[in-house]
Amino acid sequence: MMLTESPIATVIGQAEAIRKRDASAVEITTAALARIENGSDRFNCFTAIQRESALASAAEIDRRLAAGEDPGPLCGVPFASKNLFDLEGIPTLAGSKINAARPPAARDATLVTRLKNAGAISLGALNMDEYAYGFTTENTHYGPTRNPHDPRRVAGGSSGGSAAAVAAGLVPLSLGSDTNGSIRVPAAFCGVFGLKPTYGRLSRAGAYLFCESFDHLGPFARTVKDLALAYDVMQGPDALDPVCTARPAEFCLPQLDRGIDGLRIAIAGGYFERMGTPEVFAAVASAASALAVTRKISLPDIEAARAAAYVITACEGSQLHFADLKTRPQDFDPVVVERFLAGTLTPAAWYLHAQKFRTIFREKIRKVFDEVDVIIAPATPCPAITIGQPTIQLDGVELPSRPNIGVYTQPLSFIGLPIVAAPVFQPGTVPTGIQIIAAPYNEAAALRVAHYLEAAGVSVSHAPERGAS
Amino acid sequence: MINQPEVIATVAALHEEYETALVSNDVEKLIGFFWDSEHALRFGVAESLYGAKEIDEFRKNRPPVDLRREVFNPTIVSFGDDTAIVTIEFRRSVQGAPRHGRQSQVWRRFDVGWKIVSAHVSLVPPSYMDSASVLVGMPIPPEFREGVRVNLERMSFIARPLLDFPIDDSVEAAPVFVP
Repeated sequence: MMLTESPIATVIGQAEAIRKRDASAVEITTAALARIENGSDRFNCFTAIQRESALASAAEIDRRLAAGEDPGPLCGVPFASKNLFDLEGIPTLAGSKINAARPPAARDATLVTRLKNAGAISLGALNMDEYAYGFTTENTHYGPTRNPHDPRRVAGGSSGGSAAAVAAGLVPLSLGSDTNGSIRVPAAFCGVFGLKPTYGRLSRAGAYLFCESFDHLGPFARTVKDLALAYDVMQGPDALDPVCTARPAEFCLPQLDRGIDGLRIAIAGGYFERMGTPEVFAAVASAASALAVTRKISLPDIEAARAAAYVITACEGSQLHFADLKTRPQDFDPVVVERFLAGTLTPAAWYLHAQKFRTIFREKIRKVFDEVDVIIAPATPCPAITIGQPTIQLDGVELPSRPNIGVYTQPLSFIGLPIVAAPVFQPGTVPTGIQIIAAPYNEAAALRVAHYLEAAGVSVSHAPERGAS
Repeated sequence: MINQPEVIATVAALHEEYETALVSNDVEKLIGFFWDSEHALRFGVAESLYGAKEIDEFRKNRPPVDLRREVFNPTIVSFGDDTAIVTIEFRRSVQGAPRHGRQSQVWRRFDVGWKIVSAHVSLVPPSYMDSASVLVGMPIPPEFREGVRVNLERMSFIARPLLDFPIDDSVEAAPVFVP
């Protein structure tokens, strides 16, 4: 059966096939588990596999279909989650060795529950940077996740396993988190779509947080429709997350076909035209050309926004692990621990200055969105770096790679803007991606632009070529 | 004539004895090492002591805590057979914080033997990293010190555009808690 074999199956395609009984959920799940377990996970995406519960859930989907019930829009579709999501029965690692000693999670994270309630099948947990403090998923405890388009390169991070598992065709859908770029960076590096919704739009309950001021959760997929569908089924208030908005859901999938009519689109100038390599600017240029956009807009005070996000992350991130940093620093990933230790010493004056600046920056960017609806910017300053590469060359300056891969993403998550990371690359080349940025709660606009670019053939999640994988 | 071997050897042995007396807080012995004169002088880390009497008083009242220290870079220079200058650097812990210090002593030979006539002890001001790590109660393992120092420096560099940004008194941090 083609549908169970094809590594480029989509969420909607698989759900449809299962609903029509062209394939059973058990067949699809069995095939997906076989791909992961029989060596197709040579990119080191998975850290835990839920074989038994996945097959049981799939059998239940098949039973419900046979009984004439509707299991939901994600009927039988396999997915996997970054290992900071609680998955019932598995300790929530958040990429760490320390958390491996925690008891298994008693229940699934809210978003996992919502995907399952829509009929999806949870296959397991995916690799990440320790405690999400990184942009490369070079995890010393669990090994690096490799880029399916070129295994010598990183998958990006911190949701590297989530992006690579989708790019490699192991699952058509995954969940990740984004604090400073951890969905957008790996999506761009692995050539898949990722959505970082508005801050507070999706519940964070049951996710092991990193930095509560800007933690976001969101999906990865290979098509915009799949991304929008997954986002739609996960929306809605959640009393378990104090940050989750009480606004009613606004479904995006039904809006994709509206195209880009009426949307005022601009290219991000200034800061977003510096520091990058030619490939990433070419990606922005080809998107601009397909959208017939010539307008350029300069976002104010981006350097300060990036700085503020950096300071708040260092401070909040390290506070979360303060007790362990005091008593067992040697148990942390050595590539992460020194940043955490330094973070505990962040002066309070810096932290509060950064938090107050957030208010100012939010006002300034709100004014920008009075004039435009969507802004296009590069996602990363360069395509995926090689594993172990300590520095990157940006504008002729050699900079440490880990803190600088997020230069374009960090200032925007700082104020919680909804952003789609969309791939822009030719088949057989190393992917690059763009950010499609919208005003708060206007995910639909960003997804419409992404869908338009996808239909125009500019933004396509090409499968890795055989030689590469 | 400088650095006569027998002078150096004598002063080195005496200095070693002094160091032992210091870390074991052998007050009588310590008093005996100093010149019994109103011209004797000892500048400690926090105290300026003029004359043998003030020095003796200080020794008798000093709480015997944090005395242990690791000496490095010792030097002795002698002049003739009656004058020598001894310097050391040391590391000791002050209230749990690692500190780096320096000490110089001028030794002079009298009829009663070699005595310290003038001494000065100081501590190098601690780094922000060391002070803050003590304040928050989080020791930094030696193997991570350099990395933490580099990361603080990097954060300070990255934070500059933020810290340069003027913020009016009326601005509040964005509240996220909606009761």
